[in-house]
Amino acid sequence: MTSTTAGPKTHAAPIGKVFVALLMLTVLEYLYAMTASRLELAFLLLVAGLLAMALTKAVLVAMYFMHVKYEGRWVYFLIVPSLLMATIVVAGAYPDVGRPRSTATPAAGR
Amino acid sequence: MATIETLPPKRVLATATTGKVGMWVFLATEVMFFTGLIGSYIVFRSGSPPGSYSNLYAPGTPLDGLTETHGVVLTGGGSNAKAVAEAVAKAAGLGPESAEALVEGARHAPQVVQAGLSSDSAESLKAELEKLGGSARVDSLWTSAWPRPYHTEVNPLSIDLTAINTFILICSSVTMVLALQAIQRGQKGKLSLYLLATVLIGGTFLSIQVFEYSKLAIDDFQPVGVSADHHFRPGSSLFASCFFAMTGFHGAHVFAGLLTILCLLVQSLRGVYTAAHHATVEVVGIYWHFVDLVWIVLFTIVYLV
Repeated sequence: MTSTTAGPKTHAAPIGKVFVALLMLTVLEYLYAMTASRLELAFLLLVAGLLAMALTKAVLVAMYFMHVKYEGRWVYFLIVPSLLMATIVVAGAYPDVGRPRSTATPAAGR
Repeated sequence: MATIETLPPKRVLATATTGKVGMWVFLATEVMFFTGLIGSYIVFRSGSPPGSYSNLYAPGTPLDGLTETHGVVLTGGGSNAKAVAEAVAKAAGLGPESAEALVEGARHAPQVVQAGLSSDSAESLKAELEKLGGSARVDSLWTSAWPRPYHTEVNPLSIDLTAINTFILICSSVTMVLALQAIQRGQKGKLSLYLLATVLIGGTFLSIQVFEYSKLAIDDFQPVGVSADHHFRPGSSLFASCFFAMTGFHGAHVFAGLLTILCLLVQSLRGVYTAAHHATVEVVGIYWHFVDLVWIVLFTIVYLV
């Protein structure tokens, strides 16, 4: 039965290198956030820097630990649509909740 | 015409087993689940009105007419904490126990003794507290739409502790990969050892999270800018409910993962897995790394931004 036995092909991920990269990026994130807070860095710069580092870490975990790098395209066919749909839900909610609210009261109708 | 020798080597892909595909289908739903949570957090945060959080008042307090006022903030009780607590009780109209808790709370975060004061009244109260040995300062009112990191007056989250916890969870991912590699080479003993390490390290992550929750919600006396009742709980503010929803659901996933890895460990000790029969280890590993990946994003978005 295919679900109980592993395939014959195995891939040795560069675990040591990925681990060091993840560790360094975590330390870098920590220092960046602390420095940005002390220097009162622009919010966009803070978000851009931190997200870039977090996404790099996430991609490293997905590619090498979850073995996405060694899988076929079928993985992307499963994950990309779900990400897309979730993003659509969030984007749909944004105009109602996420935009700064106007304090102006609507004109009274007759 | 290209010969076999001149053709580029074909990329060797892993076998798509039923179990693995099933796990990825499950993870696709999990992606939607966590994207929904994180997306809602982003939407709520960007829609939070300016002035929702302040250093001197509880979250959501209307601040009309208070923008020019000052507050006296206690940063330490000094050697005569009892006398300081009595002065705090008198100034803030608190009971003796609440005043003592406030002075004790000033050891880890600045505590507002009294707000809504004129500059002169605030300086006078500050001088009185300092005369008794306490450390105090006069703060003007500042506000924000969302609690920013490192501002302990409004944000009680410990970035230092959570950075260490993030590192711990990454370590557990590494031991899980090593467990899979071990059984792929047929090393049954090492598989059990790495699975045990994963359970222990993952358990440490969860324990630290429980410790963090208990400090936030029960043990520590939080500043009024964090919560009106001085405890950071889901009902304290929108930030608090978002925080507990996201980290709580993640914690539940970690707990489920730990139980599953524990089952793997038992099976491994019974010698169930071999070099040719270990698909379950790989499938559970994929789930565990996903939990790690989600935490990497949560740590950044909830704690650091």
